[in-house]
Amino acid sequence: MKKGVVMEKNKRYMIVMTGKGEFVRARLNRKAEVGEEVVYMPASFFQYPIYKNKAYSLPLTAGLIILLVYPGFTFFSPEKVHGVVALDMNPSIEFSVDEEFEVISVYGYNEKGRDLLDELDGQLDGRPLYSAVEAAIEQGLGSEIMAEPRDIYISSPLNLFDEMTWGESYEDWIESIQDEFTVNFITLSLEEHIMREAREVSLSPVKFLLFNDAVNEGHTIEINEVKNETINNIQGDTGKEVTALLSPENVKVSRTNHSIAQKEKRAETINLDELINDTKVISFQVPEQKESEENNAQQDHNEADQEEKSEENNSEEKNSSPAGKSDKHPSQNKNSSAEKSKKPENHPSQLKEKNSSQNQGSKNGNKPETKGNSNNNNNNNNNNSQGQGNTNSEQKSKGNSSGNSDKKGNNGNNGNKGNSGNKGNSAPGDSKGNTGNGQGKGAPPHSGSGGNPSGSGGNPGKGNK
Amino acid sequence: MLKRLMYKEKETDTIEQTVAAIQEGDSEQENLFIEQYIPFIRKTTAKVCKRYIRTSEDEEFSVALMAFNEAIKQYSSNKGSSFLSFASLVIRRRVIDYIRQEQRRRVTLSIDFTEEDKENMENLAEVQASFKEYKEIIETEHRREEILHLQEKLGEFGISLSEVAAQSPKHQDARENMLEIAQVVVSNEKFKEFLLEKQRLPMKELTKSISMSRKTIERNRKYIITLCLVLLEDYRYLQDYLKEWVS
Repeated sequence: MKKGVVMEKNKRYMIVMTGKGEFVRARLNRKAEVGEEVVYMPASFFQYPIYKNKAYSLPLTAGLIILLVYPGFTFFSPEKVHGVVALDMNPSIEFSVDEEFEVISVYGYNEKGRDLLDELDGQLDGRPLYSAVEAAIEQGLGSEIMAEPRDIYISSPLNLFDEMTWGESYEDWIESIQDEFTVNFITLSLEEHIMREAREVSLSPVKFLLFNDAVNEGHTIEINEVKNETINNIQGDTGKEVTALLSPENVKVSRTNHSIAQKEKRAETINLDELINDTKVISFQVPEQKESEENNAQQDHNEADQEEKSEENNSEEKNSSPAGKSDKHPSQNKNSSAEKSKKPENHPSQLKEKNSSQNQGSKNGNKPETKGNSNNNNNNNNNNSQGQGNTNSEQKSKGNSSGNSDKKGNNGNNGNKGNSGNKGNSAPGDSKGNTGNGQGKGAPPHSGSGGNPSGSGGNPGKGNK
Repeated sequence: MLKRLMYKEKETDTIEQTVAAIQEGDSEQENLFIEQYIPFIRKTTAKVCKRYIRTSEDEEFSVALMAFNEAIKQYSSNKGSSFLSFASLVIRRRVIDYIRQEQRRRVTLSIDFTEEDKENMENLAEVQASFKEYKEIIETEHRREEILHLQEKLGEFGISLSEVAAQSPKHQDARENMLEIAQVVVSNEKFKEFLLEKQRLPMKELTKSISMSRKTIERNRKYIITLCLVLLEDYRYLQDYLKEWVS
């Protein structure tokens, strides 16, 4: 209990002098008057600590400001655009993604793109990139905005492309989409300034590349024309493909083959990088490197020739018979070690050839390719077709016993030939049925499946005997 | 500025000299001096009464006049920083006494006077208690006037009581050290003059005559000045309140 004389009354406190000469700031007692002796409570120490010492006020204020501003930082930083991915399937869309590869904003390069986005109505924002792209493709296919053939060009800056981009590995992702839709994927890694320039003229990067190239080549094309054209049309007009404008390691092409009758799907991922690693002549360059091309006119002469050749090849291939292709295919699909020794001239043509051959191959029941291709898809497709055969064979019990022997023969042959283990493993059960089919039915409705066993080894023939 | 300082000094000298002369028996000068300071007396009285004072009507004014006269008679250099300060205090004291007296008389002469009051008065303990209460009230009033006076004085030094409270040492030893310094300042005529004229502590001289560090003195400058004023002025009731500590 402390007593003191009230010396001064303030709004929030009063000053009290004790009998021992102490001046104290005390809690305000409204009844007390100046001069009165009162029992007082010291004013709470923390009442106005900021004013206690002015030296503290500056760091305190600074701290408060930082506290106020800091949440702002954390709010805005994830919104920062980490990179841009453009999707071209004639509707051209651009996805801006953050560091987590989640879509921050979308942008339509052309009208169809904007239409597509309108239809999706903001559903894409905040979704992971891969799912947003899937949704866009789905929507595009569903509303038939997309033009045939269904080529989807995905372009992104070089530095953006890593494993994280698609949530899983790129190949897996592409595959999973191609399981659902019949689309071709061409993925381009572009330099960032190209993306930027493309954005400036409101053109999708792929079209921008083509446009740039066309202008450099002396074609007269309006930007607006390019905007709404499909890429295929533009390529037809300029006579060049986008893939040809870029260095091969920046291009990934994966195509689906769709045969309606058999529902066969096939995708191939060509690792051009591997194929061309050791080639002496670099045949394709990014457009902006054209200056160097001009400088080295002589060298480029060769390249130009090659390109011409490749184009010629392309046209030839398209016309050529499947037999011609079947000759070349095995070689193409062999591993790079064999491939590297080959002449570089073949590569562009192979690329083209492949594209065209796939289309034709499907028509031809995959005959030539099943042998050489070690693709999983291929096997799967075969399995599918063979599975049909299976049911047939089960109906005919006779065929089974003979089929067994065939299978053995098949397996053995496969092993001898050094074919991929995959095929050998997955095939047996089916091949049994297949051969059975072939025997029992004589002429199966699908010549493709019937052809398979004979194609793979020519051994079933032996088994049959 | 130098001129003003010189002038001020001269004037204060004259007041104190005049007072000294009057004390010697110069009655002519006494009347003149009192007449000269009627506004001052009125002002001081008005402060206590908190109302306008008419020299011709108000009883308080005559009380104040008498108090002023008393102050002239009683003033000595060791009572307060200046004569006017001292006179102001005396006037306040007297006027308060008068007001209290009047109030009490009014109660006793009240028309509402009843038997009950009378009965209460007969009870000795109660009478004593009421006397004590009355004394306390008087004391409080006097102290209030003194405190107000002190605040005015501190205002001249540019010090507020809040600042004093902020600087007031928490420990008793420290406070006693400060009191020691204040007593040195007050008892030393030179220091006192310096303090009243320059309105700051004579640091240099103080550090010479006191063992305490300059920093300690500076840190508690306002508290020391306040103590000096409390000791210096004729604060009877405040000093009474602090007597245990001061002595």
